[in-house]
Amino acid sequence: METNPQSTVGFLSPRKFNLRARMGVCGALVAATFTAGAAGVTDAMIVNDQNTPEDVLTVGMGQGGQRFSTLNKINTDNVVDLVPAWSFSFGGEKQRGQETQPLVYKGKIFVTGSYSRIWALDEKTGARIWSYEHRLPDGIVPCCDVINRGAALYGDLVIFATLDAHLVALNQDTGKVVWNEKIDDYKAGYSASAAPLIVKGLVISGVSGGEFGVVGRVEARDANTGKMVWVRPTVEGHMGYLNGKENGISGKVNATWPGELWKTGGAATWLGCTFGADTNLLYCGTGNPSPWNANVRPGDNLYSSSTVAIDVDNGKIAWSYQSTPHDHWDFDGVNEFIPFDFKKDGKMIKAGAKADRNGFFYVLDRTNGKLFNASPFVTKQTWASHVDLKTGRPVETDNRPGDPGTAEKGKSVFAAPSFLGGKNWMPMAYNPGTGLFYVPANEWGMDIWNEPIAYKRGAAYLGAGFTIHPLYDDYIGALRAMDPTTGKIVWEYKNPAPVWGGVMTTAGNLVFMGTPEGFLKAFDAKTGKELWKFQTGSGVIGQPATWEMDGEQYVGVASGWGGAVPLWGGEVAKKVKDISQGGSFWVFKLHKSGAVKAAQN
Amino acid sequence: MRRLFLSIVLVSIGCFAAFARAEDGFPDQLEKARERGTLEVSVYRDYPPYSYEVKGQYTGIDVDLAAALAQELGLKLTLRPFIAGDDLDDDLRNQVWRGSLLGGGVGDVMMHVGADPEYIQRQSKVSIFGIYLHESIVLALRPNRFKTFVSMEQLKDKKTGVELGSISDLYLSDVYGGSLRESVARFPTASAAVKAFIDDEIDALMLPRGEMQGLTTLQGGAAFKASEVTFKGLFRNKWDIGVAVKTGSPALKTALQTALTTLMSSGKLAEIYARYGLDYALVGAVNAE
Repeated sequence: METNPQSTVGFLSPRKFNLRARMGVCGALVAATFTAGAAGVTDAMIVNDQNTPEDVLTVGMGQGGQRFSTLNKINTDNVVDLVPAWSFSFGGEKQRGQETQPLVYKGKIFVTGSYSRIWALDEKTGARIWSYEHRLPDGIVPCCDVINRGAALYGDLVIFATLDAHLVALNQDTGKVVWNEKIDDYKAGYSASAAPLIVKGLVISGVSGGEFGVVGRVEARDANTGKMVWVRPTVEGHMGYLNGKENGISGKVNATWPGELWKTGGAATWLGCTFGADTNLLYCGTGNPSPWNANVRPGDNLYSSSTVAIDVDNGKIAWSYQSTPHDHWDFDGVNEFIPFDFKKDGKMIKAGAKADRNGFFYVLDRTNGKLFNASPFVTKQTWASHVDLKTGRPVETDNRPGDPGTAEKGKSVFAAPSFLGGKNWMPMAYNPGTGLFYVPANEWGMDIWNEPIAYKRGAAYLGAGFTIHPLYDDYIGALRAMDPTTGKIVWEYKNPAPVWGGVMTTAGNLVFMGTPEGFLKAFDAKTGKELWKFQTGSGVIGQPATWEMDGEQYVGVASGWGGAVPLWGGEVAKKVKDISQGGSFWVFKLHKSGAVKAAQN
Repeated sequence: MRRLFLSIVLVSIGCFAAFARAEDGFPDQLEKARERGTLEVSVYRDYPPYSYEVKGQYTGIDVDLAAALAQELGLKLTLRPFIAGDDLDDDLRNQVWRGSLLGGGVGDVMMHVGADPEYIQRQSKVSIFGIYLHESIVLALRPNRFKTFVSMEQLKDKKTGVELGSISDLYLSDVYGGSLRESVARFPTASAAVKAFIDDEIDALMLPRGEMQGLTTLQGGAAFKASEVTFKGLFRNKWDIGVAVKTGSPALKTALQTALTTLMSSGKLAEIYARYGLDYALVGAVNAE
């Protein structure tokens, strides 16, 4: 669903790396990595991001996306004293859809906003250092709001994706464009909003959009120049490329697709990838297959609604796990796969977990994709009774809409979760201290049926109808702590409106999550007890992050309601219709009395 | 004389409507158009033969009709070519009642709106009316490829050109137990399918009639015979096309409907169709309300 050629210019200018700022926690490893001439953010720093709390270099707070911080200065005992340090308004009229996560590096905070905007702010004061507003062409039609999910740092560049399907790299100090590469054509409906991921000097990104004709792919570009290094299609039958040369097709032609339908097979990679440094594999989620009427594409339709593991060096698929074979419910399984380790029979297991849009929480072996465990993280799913651990496949319950080619009247089925998912884009978090995953979930179902007629550009086509229904009167959203070793829900917090923001957890035994009602909330990571909340003035659908500066711990989150929920009507809309739009970035720290502060000075 | 009379009627309706709605502070869209002196009309981008660009100028059936409607209303025409969204709901929201989240506001009228009665019933924000085109799915066969053609099943093992994701594509991919699925030649645009057919690269072509006729003319092909196809199951093989305005603009709606009736009875609409190679007897709004 989201447009323009740009020339590639510029080169990284070597910049002095500020060792002093990093020495505090990251210690010898990082220091040793940086010899004279190292410029800005390096691969070694990115690999080690989760261990260096004075900076946040990646969306996901580490390449694996655990969103865990080792900081414990703010903890269950004192979080009640968390107060705003400063707030920055994005300004203008573009007051909606703030799904970003801040990045923190060398005195600056980089925060993206809706409508393809980005700001560099002074870490201490919140003052604007520079701002960049990407010039969007007339008439772009992003499917699902005007959001952006954050940037990536490399060298002295800050890189982010734009609604017209470009990747833009700016100089961290000046905000000037260094390179600008087109991912695909916005006129064909392509767009881009996920945060890019930097791995080994490559900027990794997916594609989003295009109802008809899109083929999902993962792309790796040279982060310094934007030049393409490899491309890996996520639909079986398509050729991959490495350095401009053919690099083998994905899977085998027609193994899981009939005829030529694989040529337009869908499986968009709109949420990007995570990375396992120890396996050298990228873990990329893929969307639903195309066309939506599953009856015309018998077969599993690989690699749609899957996690695809790709070797970052050669761009080849190492393994894949398909959570919804032959998807007919729009269970667009792009959700993030988060590497973590756990002990089983005295042995450390290299695992990874994914809370899928289809309602199941999967734990896989991250080295080979073998299924350990799959358990529901929502209270109701109608489409499958369970996942067979032997075959790794769901056991379906005859919950598919009827075949429109034979039916005179479309059979309507009630399916849960709804197509917006048991969990949508919003990332979960993993706390190695508690051993729990914290999953932002929603309890809703849908009536789904085929309809005789819908229109696109004046032409009729066969349509699908959806009506979303909340499953319960008192809540839709939930934050659930899942034990990945047992698949059990340890605690839950219920929220009236559907939750749509990311989760973060810390060594201070805290879990942070925003709510559409406008709060940033902190919970006890062990019990789920709500310990703190702050009203930010608009719905929070951003991804919180935490960092340390001058010996104090800070928490930051963007506020600004929007995203896909308000774009879909129905009964859900009633729960969110009174939420004010917004666009601001909030930073919090522990309260110190003025007297104590003065004495210190 | 007739024209003059109509204008007087329209002006009175316009004034009445504006007066009637003055209390809630929302003037009829016609009044806004009169104030600015232009009728803002949304047309699809890159949609030949209906609305497309030639050397920087927009042209096509929808464009000519929009110009004629504006003229009937005594207004200048401002075109708003736009990229289609995922479905008509997106287009109506972005062009008629709310405007895109990316700015640009809304137009007064949107052309080429699918006018299924059930779909019309479902709308609360827009009013769909003014049917000016009947599309129906037709099948054209290359000469000498089929001795006699009695059943769609004969398309098996032949190549039938369709536009990717169109109802022809979805239909052929689904019916007869999927046995025609591999006989479908999917083209990114209807234009490309027509070209392949003219160039004798495929055996059959399945498109809406208006598009087939107009694109054949545009590409300099000779007219060929095409017959209406009957679908089974939930698929629809024909539909009407009209215009849409925002709900709560009765004066604009009446003015446009009247103008359209005038263009039909004066033969002007048939003239526009003929300009682009469409057969008015088959696609014209002969059954229009």
